[in-house]
Amino acid sequence: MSDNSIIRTEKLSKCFKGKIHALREVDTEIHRGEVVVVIGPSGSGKSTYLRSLNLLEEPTGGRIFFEDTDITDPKVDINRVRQKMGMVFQHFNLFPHYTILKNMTLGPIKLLKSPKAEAEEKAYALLERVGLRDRANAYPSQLSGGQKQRIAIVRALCMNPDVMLFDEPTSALDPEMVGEVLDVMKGLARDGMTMIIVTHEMGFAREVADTVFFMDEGTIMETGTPEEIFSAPKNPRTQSFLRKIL
Amino acid sequence: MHKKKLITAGIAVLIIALIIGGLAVALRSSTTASEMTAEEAESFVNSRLDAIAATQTTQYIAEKNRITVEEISYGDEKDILLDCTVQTLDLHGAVAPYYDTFLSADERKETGMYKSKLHFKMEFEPLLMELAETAAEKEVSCRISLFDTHEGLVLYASDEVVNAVFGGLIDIKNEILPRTSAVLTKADGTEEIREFESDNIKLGFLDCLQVPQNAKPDTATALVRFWNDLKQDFHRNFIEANRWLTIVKGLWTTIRLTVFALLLGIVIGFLVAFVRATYLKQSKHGFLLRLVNSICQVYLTVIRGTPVVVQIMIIYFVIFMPLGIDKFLAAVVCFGLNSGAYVAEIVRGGIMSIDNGQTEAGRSLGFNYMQTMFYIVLPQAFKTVLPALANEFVVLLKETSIAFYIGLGDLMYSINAIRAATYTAFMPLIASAIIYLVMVLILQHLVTLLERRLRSSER
Ligand SMILES: Nc1ncnc2c1ncn2[C@@H]1O[C@H](COP(=O)(O)OP(=O)(O)OP(=O)(O)O)[C@@H](O)[C@H]1O
Ligand SMILES: [Mg+2]
Repeated sequence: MSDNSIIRTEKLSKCFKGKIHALREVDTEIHRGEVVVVIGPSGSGKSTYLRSLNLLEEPTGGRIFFEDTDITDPKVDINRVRQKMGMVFQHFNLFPHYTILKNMTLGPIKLLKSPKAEAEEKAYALLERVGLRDRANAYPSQLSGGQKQRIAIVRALCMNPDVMLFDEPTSALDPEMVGEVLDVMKGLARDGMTMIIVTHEMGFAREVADTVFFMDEGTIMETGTPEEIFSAPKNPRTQSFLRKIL
Repeated sequence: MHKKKLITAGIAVLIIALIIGGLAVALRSSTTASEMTAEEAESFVNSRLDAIAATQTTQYIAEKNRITVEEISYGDEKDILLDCTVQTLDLHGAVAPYYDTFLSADERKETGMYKSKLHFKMEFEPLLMELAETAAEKEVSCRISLFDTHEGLVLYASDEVVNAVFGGLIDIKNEILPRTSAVLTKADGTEEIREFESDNIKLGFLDCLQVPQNAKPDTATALVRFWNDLKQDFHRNFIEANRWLTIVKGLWTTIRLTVFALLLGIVIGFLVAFVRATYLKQSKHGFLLRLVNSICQVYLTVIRGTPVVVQIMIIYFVIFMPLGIDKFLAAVVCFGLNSGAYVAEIVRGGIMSIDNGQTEAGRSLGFNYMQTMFYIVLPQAFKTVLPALANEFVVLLKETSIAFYIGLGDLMYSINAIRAATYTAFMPLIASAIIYLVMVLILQHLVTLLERRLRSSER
């Protein structure tokens, strides 16, 4: 364990009711500023792994350390921990009854107790960055998929998270909109954000990832740099998976 | 949506009007009178005029009269119009010069008391009779109306007819009535104006020429009679004895009851829905949640499994009355509990219908369960269940009429009180139906407006 570790899982396991072992004793370590891309076949447990990190999925075994706190400890206020872990979903999950601005400032105002003006100023700055400043007062239903996902990203950023979790952020998008979302994520990576990304965009993974996790059957089969994983996979499972999709 | 409702209401009103109209037409008997000959008409008019001449003078004239019917026509309804020429005496011409002579008579007796109008009548009658005997003959034409009523033929002795057949009698009356004084010509030829101290002298004079006039007979068709009855019914049921005030009071009670029950129902409904949705969404349940959920289950089962009438009677007669708590509170509690059960199921459905992703997004931002519910799930759930909630409130408004069973003075109670007082069922009951309908339409309209506003915030 190095000092700049931000998330560490120890024997993380998740067993769903129907005796489905979605995660089997997963040990991982993620460092500050690291961009981790998780790849693997469907049903391999990528989403479950990611969602376990902020306890949206409650692990049935093992421990998760976030900034050196064991967040599986029932005494830990998980809501405070989640404020530090932004999450972006495949289906955006914007709040349809609030404007874009309210979507973004709701968390900071209610949870961080930021003054409204300050929260809005930050929201506008982030909107500016993703080129959607003029849509601040629109409702989510008035936006395209790509725009929605960009808003979902900046909504999470408004909380000043230390880590960003992405679960297939581009899978629900029309192909022509994938680029605009990936660009935002690349920008984030450049700025040094710690990111864990589940994706099927291999080109993107190769470009931005510091580390690639290959998951199958609830375990991390292989870990390495994009170079190692994509060019010279060691595990036969990885090899066959990459053969299928590349 | 709203327009559709208006159209529906319009059609309903139209159908009711058609039914009433159809009934009226069906009840309406044939509208033309049976035909009669000129001779029959003449003899009928003569006998009727003889019969109505009530004083010596008018009887004398009635005997001298000769009426010839020139033409018989039939009116729109059951009336017969007789165009007549009448040979009569010019009573007006004979009497007019003597007005002052009559009216300047002494008003007081030797004792200083006023003479009564009967006194004057007896004094003037022979004198008038003498004048009538000197009156010239004259011929006038006039139209006399006979009406075929359900009680037989009736002659309508209007001013016009009386004036024509009794030699200008109405003219005399019209000239005498406005007078306030008479000029007395004394034996020495000097004149003196006498202001009347009482009306007895005028009235006594006119009593000598009295002809009882009758009101136009009721020959109305069934439709008109129905309308008149309706007006009378309306008056009796709402205007008389300020009965409308009773209705207003009852209505006020109904509205208050509905509003309070509704508020209580919403509070209970949301709480129960919250517990139920939380229970159903989570896989692991704490002891407290299990307990509260069971209580909610029992509550829902009992309330939805028993009739409201039974509930309100139990709540009032078994629980509240022995404790001395008043009916209104009992009714609020009953309808609040009742509507709460239905609201709970509606709202639970609404909460469950909101995509789980919304909860996850809220939780991932760091909101706790309650905050996520409050800021994210409930506002959306509320919007989706609004139509169903509105429907529940409409049901509640109508259902409060059951409070009548515990004798609470609500709208239905007032209506029934009026029904008992006037022995009419139609008006008060129809009125209650209309009042409820109008309230429901207003409520639905308000909900449509609210819905539109909520929807516009998402588009
Ligand atoms: N809520 C759940 N209840 C029961 N089983 C579940 C649940 N969620 C996931 N699973 C199972 O757990 C396993 C891992 O699922 P997971 O969603 O993590 O896969 P994934 O790698 O994200 O797949 P995909 O690429 O299709 O998103 C699968 O077998 C899935 O059927
Ligand atoms: Mg997944």
